Amino acid sequence: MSKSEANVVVFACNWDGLSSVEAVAQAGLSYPASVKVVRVSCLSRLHQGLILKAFELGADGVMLLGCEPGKCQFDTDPALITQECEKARKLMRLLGLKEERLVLTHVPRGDGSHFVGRVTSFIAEIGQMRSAVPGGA
Amino acid sequence: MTRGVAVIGSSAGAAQAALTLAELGVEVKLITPSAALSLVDITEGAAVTSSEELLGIWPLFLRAASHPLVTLYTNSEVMAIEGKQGRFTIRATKYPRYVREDLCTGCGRCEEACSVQVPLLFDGRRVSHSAIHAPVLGAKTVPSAYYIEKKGVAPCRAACPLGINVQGFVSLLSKGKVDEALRLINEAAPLAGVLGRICTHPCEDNCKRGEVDSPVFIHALHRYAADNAPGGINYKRKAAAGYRREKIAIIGSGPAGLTAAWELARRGYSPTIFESHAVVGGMLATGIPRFRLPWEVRYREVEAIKALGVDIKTGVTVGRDVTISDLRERRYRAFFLAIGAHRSNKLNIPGEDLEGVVDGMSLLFALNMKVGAFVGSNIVVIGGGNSAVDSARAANRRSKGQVRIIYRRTAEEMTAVREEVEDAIREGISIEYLTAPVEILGDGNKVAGIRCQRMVMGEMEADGRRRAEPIPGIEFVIDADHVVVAIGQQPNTSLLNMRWLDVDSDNDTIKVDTLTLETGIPGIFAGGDCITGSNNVVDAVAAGLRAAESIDRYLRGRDLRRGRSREKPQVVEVDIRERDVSYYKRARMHAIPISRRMGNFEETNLGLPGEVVEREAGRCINCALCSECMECERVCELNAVFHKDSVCQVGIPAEIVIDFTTDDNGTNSYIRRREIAQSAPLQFTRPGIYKVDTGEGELTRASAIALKAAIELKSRELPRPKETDIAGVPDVYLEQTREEAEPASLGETRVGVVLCRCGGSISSVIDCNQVTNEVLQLPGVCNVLEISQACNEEGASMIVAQAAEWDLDKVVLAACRCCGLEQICFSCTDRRVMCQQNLSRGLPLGYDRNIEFVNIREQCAWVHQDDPVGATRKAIGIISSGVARARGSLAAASEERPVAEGVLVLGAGLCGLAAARNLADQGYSVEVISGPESDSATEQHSLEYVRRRDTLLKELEEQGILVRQWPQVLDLDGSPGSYEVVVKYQSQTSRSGAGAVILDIGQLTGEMPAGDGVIPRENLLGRILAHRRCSDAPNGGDTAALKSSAMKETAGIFIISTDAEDLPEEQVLKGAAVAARASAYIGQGVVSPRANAVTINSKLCRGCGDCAAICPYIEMKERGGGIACAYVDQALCLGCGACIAHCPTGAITQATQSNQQIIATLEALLGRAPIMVEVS
Repeated sequence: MSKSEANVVVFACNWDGLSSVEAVAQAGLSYPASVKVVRVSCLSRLHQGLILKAFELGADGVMLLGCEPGKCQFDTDPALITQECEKARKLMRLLGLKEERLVLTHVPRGDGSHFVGRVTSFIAEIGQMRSAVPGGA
Repeated sequence: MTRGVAVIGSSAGAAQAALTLAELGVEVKLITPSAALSLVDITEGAAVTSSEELLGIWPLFLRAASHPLVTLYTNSEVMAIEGKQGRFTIRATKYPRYVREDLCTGCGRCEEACSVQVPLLFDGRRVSHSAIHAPVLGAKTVPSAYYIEKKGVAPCRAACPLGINVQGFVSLLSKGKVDEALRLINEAAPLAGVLGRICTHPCEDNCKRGEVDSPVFIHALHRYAADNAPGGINYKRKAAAGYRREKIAIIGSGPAGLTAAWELARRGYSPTIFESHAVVGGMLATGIPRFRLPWEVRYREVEAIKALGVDIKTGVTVGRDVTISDLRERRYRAFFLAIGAHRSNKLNIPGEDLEGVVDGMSLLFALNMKVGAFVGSNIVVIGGGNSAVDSARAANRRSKGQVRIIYRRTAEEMTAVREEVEDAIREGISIEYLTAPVEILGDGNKVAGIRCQRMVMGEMEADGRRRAEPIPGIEFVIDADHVVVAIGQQPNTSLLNMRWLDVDSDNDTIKVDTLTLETGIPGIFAGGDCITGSNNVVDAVAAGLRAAESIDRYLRGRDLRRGRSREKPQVVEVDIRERDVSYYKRARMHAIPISRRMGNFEETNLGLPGEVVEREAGRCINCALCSECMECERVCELNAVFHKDSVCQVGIPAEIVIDFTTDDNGTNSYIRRREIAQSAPLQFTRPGIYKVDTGEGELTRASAIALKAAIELKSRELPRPKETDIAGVPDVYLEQTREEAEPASLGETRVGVVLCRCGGSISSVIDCNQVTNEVLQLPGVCNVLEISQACNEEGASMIVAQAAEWDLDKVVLAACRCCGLEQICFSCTDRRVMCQQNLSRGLPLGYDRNIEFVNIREQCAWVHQDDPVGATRKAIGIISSGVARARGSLAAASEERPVAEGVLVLGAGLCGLAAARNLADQGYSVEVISGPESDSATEQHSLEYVRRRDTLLKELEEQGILVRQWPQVLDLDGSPGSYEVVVKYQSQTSRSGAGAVILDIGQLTGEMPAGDGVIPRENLLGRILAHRRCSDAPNGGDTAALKSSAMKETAGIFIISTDAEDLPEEQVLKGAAVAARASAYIGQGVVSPRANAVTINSKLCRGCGDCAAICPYIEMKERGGGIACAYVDQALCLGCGACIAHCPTGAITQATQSNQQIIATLEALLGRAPIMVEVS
């Protein structure tokens, strides 16, 4: 099963992001085991280098999972991660990686089904990209 | 000894009050009527809620409930508060949870195994949940321990003379668990195959489902379990039974004798049964026709009982072949007379001795045992009991003619099982009711007919049946060539040849003590039909059980009567309307067609077909909710299920009581019930008892009242505890120094991995062997330990022992906890906190920072249950990432610094003044500086505001605290724990120390030009305020308090904002609440940075200032030569790590999530060989 599923790295912020990942278990839902969750204190901790590293190490997709605007536990400016994300996309274009392979997602706190919905549709999109361009993903 | 404070309630406010008190060093008893702390009202058992709001206060709940000074009493209803202020005793009823809070991890395996579904109407939808479930469905609670909804004894179970857990086995069958069902039946009684066929099933007569449509087909299900359990009958000795040598003789191998033998054998005895017939089974063999009870069924049961160690001697008539005295001489020490009732009653009318008149028992014996028997062609059976109907049906199968039953009463009074009567009629047997024989007619030799009398039903008799009275003058004759008299039997006690046996002179039954079944002769017991006259099988089996208990007690020299009664257990009250009943009709049992029944004795009823069994069992409405099928107990590897839990009364001492309960739904508000409540936010109901309104602003009120209570206690000379007192570090580790716990240098790091099975909930998905094998291959890993539970004390001690034995520098714990930080995030659980606390207690000081936690439960096993292979691979990846991080981790910041006791309050609004007042009351030195407010601003305040302000000012003045005017310069130097406040008025400059700073910005902002001037931007306070203005997040009051329960407060700067809308009263409360937080902060005595605080390497910093631009806590300092360098005080750092991402030179790093650690994590998760992480 997991062989065919896309390898997705989810960088989850420790607060609302992780809470939605954990809520999946609470709600009795599931998602493919090819989804790898990396906990960070806040999405603002990430920079383009780390995002691209995930691709370099074989991730088919990277999802940045953070809290909705105004919910940040650290009151960090949400623009910080949006800018990093844009920078990373720019480099991805240069490297010939489809920029759709990187998504920035804001989830409601503790909403497991929301996360499952997002991550499964993301996997499906990546799957389509892979089949559309052989070896492209 | 302190009695502490009792906080009653389960709301956020109750948790806040408890936490505030505990942080102020006060012992707290948190008493809630609910099974857990939660935002939603869960007193009704279960509810479903959205998680957003709950998660916001989740860290507060968790921190409060897991604080070492807080004792949580769940399921505890306050009945009375006795005593007076300072010496209260709270009398509470603690209802059973049936699950041990200290062990249950909420893994939910029990829920899956539970055979009961309790229907629930939620939002107009029909949902259902199992009888064992989480305190709130779909939401996190603390404690997370499950609980069982149990409501006493179901009517079916109570009605069963054998105490068979009827609801239990029915519910098991509804889940297709046939073996388990039979095992549960056989825990109470043997002979399931027999009882499932011929029991008179009082359970069904009491089945509540009967009030909806028709009772559950219980006896058919009983039979199904007996006939279809794949494991077959498997009687076992009771676990605790030893081998007992005492010899026991049981006279008679009928159901009573067999059962007594079975039960005694289970208790370790080897009884001997003496049976006068050649076949074993008594009435089961001779009296019950084979078409109702096939021989194979009886044979199977008898063999299983023999296999338990019961010796059966057939063809021995006790009293003739061997006497009781003989047996006594052969050292038999106890006797059970279970000789049944085989002598048929006589009609005592003329003609009874004519040829062709037989009694039912003889006929059944002859037909059943294939002994040649005469069967007429015009048969009349007299009687209305089971033996009459059996005789008629048996004769009918052998007769070419007609069979009739005559009965003196009506169908209603017939004692025969209704289904059997219906079958008899279907088979062509006619029943003449209200017909009593007067004389049997014949030619002097052979029977020819019966002269009958027509009867009519008269008055009620003493036994509850109506009397049948003859109608004078109506007599008639029925032709018959064969008359069967089946009007009951009596025992034949004379055969026993026992002189001293006390026997009823009327009907020859043996007289016994009905409780113990002991006859007048010690050691000799009797039961079954021989004490009652002909009766049903289930009562005989019950007598066997009762006799076995008595004999066991007798042989052990115990009191025969103590603790026993003949009373039925209390039956649960069930309101059918509350239950969501699924409308399925009662199943029908298949039977062979009537035509094929004649001429043979093949079993008539074929039992329930397998495909309808689950649905028929599912018709049960589970009257008692939990069916006690014990499946939860069986699957719980942690032994957390505890069905024997019971209601208990607790007395909880307290000096002060704070009550948060509401009585909107008539729930537990003891105080409200008794005292008339005012609508003020804080109510003081009688000295020492505070009533706090829940709802908006609850957290503020809670903190304020908690502080008030703490001050009150302190005034009674309560010493202020230090943080170390609270942590409760065992003495044995105190001698260990910090150096010993320091990690070894790179390359030699010895890593041990602990793999938690979580009571099977992890190991049932993840292949632990494979994980162990692969993880052992990882560099640096010297040992992998698999344990069943990491979060209890036993687990912690195993981990501690492993660390010591293998001399480990680092331990990777793969369980459910996912970080080693002190913060409590929305994902955290009580088990994770408990895990950390147990480890901290057990490990040498500081060693717990050497544990790397990885979550393989909620983040792996529990969400990939359908993909065990993928889950196992992923778990290996997750653990590898933990190992990589552990090997490369830096020493986390851990430096402790003292906290000064002074407090600076900026802003002299009601909030600030109230805060100052509360802090001063605790003896802290307080400095208050008023905001730069104009005179015109004062005009806007209400009279009430002014009155309160003036009072506070006066009170402060009395304590020697003067409010100073806003200075020309206000600077904050120093660092968290010991700030230095520099205040300049014209030429005068004063400096004072402060451990904490409170900013009443409601007082400040309005008058301050944004961003500049009054508090210099370069100043820490100025930077914080500027950052606040940029972020639109609400940050005052409750939000700030909630955030500080999530992330430990380290900076000691408290910002409180008030709204112009706030009532003066509310502002005062807010001030008290923030004072509570400041007191708790200072009260720790020391403060240390968060483990995830960043460090800035000044050698690498090029002074660009990008980090300082995004973080108010970083400042640019000059390091000489005009070169700027970023600097951060670690105690200020919140740990978000944004600065690291924006540092162009890599000067900033974080011990818990360095770039290298994140990359190592990615490598491990994505299956790249983990590289050695460089320590920078």
